[in-house]
Amino acid sequence: MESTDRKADYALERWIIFFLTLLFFVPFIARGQESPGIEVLPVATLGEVEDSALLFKTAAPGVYAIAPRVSSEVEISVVGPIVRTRVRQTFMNTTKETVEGVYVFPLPELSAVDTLKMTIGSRIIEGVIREREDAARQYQKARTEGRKAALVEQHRPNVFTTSVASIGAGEDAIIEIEYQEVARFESGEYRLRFPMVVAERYTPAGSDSPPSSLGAATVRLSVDLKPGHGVREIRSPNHRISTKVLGHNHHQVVLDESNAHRPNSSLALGMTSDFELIWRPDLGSKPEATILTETVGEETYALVMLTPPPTSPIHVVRETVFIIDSSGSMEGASMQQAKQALLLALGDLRPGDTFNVIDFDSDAHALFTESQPVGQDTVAVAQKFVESLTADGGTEMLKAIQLALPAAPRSGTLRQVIFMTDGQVGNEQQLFSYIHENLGESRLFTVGIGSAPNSYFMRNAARFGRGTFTYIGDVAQVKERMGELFEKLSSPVMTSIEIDTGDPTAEVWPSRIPDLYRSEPLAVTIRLSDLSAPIVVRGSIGGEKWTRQLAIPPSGDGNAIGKLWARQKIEAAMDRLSEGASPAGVRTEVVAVALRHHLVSQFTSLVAIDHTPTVPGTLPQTATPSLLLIICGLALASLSAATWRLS
Amino acid sequence: MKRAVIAVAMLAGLAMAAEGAWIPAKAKLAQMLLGVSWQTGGAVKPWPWADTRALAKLTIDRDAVIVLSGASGRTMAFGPGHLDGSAMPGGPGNCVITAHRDTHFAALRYVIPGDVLTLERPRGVVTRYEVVETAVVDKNDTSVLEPTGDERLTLITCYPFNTVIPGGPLRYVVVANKLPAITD
Repeated sequence: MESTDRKADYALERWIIFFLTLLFFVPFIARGQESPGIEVLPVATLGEVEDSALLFKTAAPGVYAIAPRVSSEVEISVVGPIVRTRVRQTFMNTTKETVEGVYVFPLPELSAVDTLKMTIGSRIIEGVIREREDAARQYQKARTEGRKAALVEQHRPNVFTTSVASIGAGEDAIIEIEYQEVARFESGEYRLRFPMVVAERYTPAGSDSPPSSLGAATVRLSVDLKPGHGVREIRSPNHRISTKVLGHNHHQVVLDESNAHRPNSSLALGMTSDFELIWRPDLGSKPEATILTETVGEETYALVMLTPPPTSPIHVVRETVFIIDSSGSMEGASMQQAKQALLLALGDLRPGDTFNVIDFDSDAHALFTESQPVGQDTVAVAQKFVESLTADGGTEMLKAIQLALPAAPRSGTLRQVIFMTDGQVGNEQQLFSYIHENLGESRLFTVGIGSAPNSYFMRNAARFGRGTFTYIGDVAQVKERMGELFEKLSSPVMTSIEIDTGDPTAEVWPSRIPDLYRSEPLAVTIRLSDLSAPIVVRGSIGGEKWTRQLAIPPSGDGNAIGKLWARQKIEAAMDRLSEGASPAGVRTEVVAVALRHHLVSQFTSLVAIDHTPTVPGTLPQTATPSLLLIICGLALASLSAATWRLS
Repeated sequence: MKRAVIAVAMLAGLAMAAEGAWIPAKAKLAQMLLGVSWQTGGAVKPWPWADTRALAKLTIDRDAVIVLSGASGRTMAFGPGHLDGSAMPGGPGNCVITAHRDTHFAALRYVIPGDVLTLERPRGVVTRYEVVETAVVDKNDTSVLEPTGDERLTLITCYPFNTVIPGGPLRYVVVANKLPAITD
């Protein structure tokens, strides 16, 4: 009897203890609602962020918490010189609350994000290209209605910024962007760069938070390389890569995973370690032409690449004519730069060639009535002449160009006109048409001097003159830039290049094809609708005719050629605007091309509007566990008191 | 040994009750400090480690509460929270403010259509709203948060008002429309 009582007592006790233990956990479950989390993340201001990052807004204005990055996938596709990069980054909201984010990505120069997709939890937001005013209107409308909208803005040059709305606690934010650029060609090699910064710099000392760096998170980077010609070497100076041949002139480059764990001194110091890929074309002994195509809807876009041989097959006798602007606007540093550039150029002339110097201000004046052979005496005379120049007077540019490009040009010699000016002129159209009509076998190279040269004039004068535009912004750059220009000018391979297609609707950009120099392959884009006839490339090598027929590949396996074509078409249309074309007409054309090819331009922008209301999935929890805690607490206390008495 | 366990349980119970009592006390105290900060135009922080910002002063039946930015559990411990992304107080669209039914929005149960609510923004601009509707909705019905073309104020709290267990599925919603400004 007694023993059963005892047993019952124990059973009751056990139940009470079990119940008490349960109660004990209630506050912890209830309190889960309030726990913070954003404080543990490292913080930065927008200006401090140099790497790609997702930033969470904090209570302090302008201060952002850096979200931990889970992974980055980078797919780079190279077609000829075109580099198209697709970045897909996954971030996680490790905090316990819904946060507002800002995504930043450092872009290469002269490039813009044209494709954007954000996946936040179950929401998908896609960027669309809209006419600029239209985009701003939509954005405003969405804002006033309390909807989230993101206008892709540029807070700093070359930094892509977009807001990322309402990322719920524990949710992933996947951000995908695409942008396009043209690979740099330097010393016989193409190079591309992808920004990778080691993020140790953001992580405060002693912080346990996971570093938000590309180095720490998983990074997958691959490059699909279709250079349009053979390559002799593919390398990466800062990273270990594996390369694989996928087909004829088709390579795959993969960033080795070992890079992430490599104890690299520069990585440890938190320095930039951008991914760089360099490929060196394997050039034949003769110039070659190759073709790649891309099919976009019913249209085909072709990229014709002309590659020079590594050594110039011909030795051309050159006549170099320098034009130097000594008008009043050049006074000061500009004049100094121009003089220095010209003196450098005079010292670089080759014996056997001929040269002349033309100076202009209110009038134009040639140093020699006729170009003189390069010799110690003639160069000395020219140097003295240049040193004595002072900047004053008006800008009679046309007279100088008339002296350099006489109305009846001599044929058979290669005349290179190097034009150093700040381009402060008013009669640009007159100058363009003169250059256009009287160019003959001459080539006009413009060298922009001063802090703000009229680059519209320079670029187009060079375009009409089938030459190039070199910009020297700083005295310190004179030597380097002039050196590059001279290196190039000394090695012309093919001139008078023309492209014929059997398609009357074909459109070729650039419309005036520049010459091929030893130092750099040439790329031309063409829009075609008839693929039956081959493309014929014609040129002249030292007076001899050169012809190649290129059959158009039936299935386009190139990428982004259409976009490069469209970008060139837009540039040409924008130039026409400055030439006096009707603004409405140019605008209509640019908008149509930009919308069709999904490009950001002067008149179009990328806007991401989320059409789902950006609210939490449920209404907020709006009751405190206060009463529950009091009741449970008091119940626990009184039950314990009762048990105390029982035992 | 057994007694020790029981003693711990008793202390835990008392601590729990104290914690429960602290919640409404904290809500009251925070509002007092926020009120002082509001008087100074935000020049004085309500408390030295404060990381939220007073957005507006909401008056329901003569009782004023300071509304904070963001409708998270953390801000709602101190005051009603303005839902991020909803219209700004006094601005066009749907301005949504949420608070706990047992602290700052306890007064909502007595609000009826026709009542006037006022929202004062930091520079003294006062917007008046007239209550047009009160409703009970499920927590998954987020339509009340959606943007609207008019200028309205939506107040949300948990429902029913007097249950003990928090986190129930129902919400009490008060909708008020902006009244034209009074000109003296």
